[in-house]
Amino acid sequence: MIHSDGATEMTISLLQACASARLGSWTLDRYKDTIYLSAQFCQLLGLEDGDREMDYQLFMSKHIHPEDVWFVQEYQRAPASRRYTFRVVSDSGMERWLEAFPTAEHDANTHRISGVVQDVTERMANEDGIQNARKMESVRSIAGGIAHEFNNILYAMSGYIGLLKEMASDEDIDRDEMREFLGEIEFGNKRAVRLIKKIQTFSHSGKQGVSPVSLNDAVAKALHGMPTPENIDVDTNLHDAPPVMVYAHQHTLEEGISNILVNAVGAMDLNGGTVAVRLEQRFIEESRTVQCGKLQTGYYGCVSIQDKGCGMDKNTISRIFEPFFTTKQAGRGTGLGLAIVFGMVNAAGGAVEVESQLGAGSTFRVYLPACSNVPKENSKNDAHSCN
Amino acid sequence: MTRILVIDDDVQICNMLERFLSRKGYEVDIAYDGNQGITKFDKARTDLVITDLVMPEKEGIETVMELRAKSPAVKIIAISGGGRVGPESYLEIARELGAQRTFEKPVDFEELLGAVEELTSPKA
Repeated sequence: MIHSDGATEMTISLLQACASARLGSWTLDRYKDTIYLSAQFCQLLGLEDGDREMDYQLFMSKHIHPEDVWFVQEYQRAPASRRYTFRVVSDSGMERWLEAFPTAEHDANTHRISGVVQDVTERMANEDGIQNARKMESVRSIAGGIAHEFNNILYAMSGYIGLLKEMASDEDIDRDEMREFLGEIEFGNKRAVRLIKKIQTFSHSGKQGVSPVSLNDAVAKALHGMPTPENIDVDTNLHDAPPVMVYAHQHTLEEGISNILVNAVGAMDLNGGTVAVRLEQRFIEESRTVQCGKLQTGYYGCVSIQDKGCGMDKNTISRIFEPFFTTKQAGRGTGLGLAIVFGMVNAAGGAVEVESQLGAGSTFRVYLPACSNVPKENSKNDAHSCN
Repeated sequence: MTRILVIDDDVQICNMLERFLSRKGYEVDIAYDGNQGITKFDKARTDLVITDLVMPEKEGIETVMELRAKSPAVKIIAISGGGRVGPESYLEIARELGAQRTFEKPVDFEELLGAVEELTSPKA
């Protein structure tokens, strides 16, 4: 393994390539409980004098960042080769980010595991900066939206207060008009309270409160509270759907589904039609990023809500989960409905897939991690029936 | 009679401004977004437009540009409660595009009335 005077040109150029790409290699011997580190890997750890073999436990405790030890061990036990990033600590205490590329598949019984690591410290620092900038942008956007909504409410209320003050000096006070203005102030007050409740629901995006809940019950409650104009029908499979337990925050799950239903009804209120609601457990075979979040391989509870309404263009779809974004007419929406859905799925580790066509309608599929990995009633075979 | 067109996506604000300005003797028409506002502006003589700047469908900035293109003479008051970039930025753009006066929500009504009187007086 250690290159000698007889090293071929190919070996030398390979080593040079590894050095310029900041690549190091390692081999773990599970029988001897040792790890071999290439010269480049040693350099990344600030260890001089070329490659070396060292005690695996000593390597883990001395050179792997304490917060990443369990993570690295977990990946080394994993049955298939995967990429992962972790932090190492050099002899002088400096931290670096490495990305690991295990080169061969292994299982718990494999004698030797080999892999390659690359120094990705700079890339991680950049990603961190981008993430922070994105966070700041979204905080600014949310704060701006909240300020706009409250300013509107205060503007209307202060106008009516001004009108009442003027009326107070009228010779003939119109008591009905006075009552009307007081009613408007009361209405403004209620708007403010409702807005605060919505913001609180949206901000409840922490993992706290996420627990196993029945998706069937949540959909049933949301359907029960849904306003359905005479020209709208609801077609649901709730009566014969399998029981699906998911991880979510109970209250925000109901509110989130309810918000999508309200949008579906709103999209069809002009021409009427049928809102189709389907509930099932699905198996996602390949990870994929969807409009709101990422679906990982595994079982999910899925509720799909389909309307045949006005539909959305691509630009609208890309903005619908932004807080305070709304396409609704005046006085009919605050733009927080789907932001609440975003907060809800984000907290639960779920995702929302959106399909829409202008003039043809929209389908929202809300995926939440299923509590059980055991598919119920052949849901794996029905994986494509969630429309 | 001086005719004022109020454009705001907030129904309560539109109703309040209608009551407030009618009480002061102005004829008031209401539109709930920029498109409606432009349609109403095309249909009837308007002396002054009071428009919000952050609205769905057609944004206020776009509305101000279109109004100014249609009529160099119409007086425009732009009002903003902020949004993604804060009220000052929207109001600055509106001023650049030809709004005579700009206000931040919540508005001081004496100042608003002062601006309305000034802009609709025959000397303006």
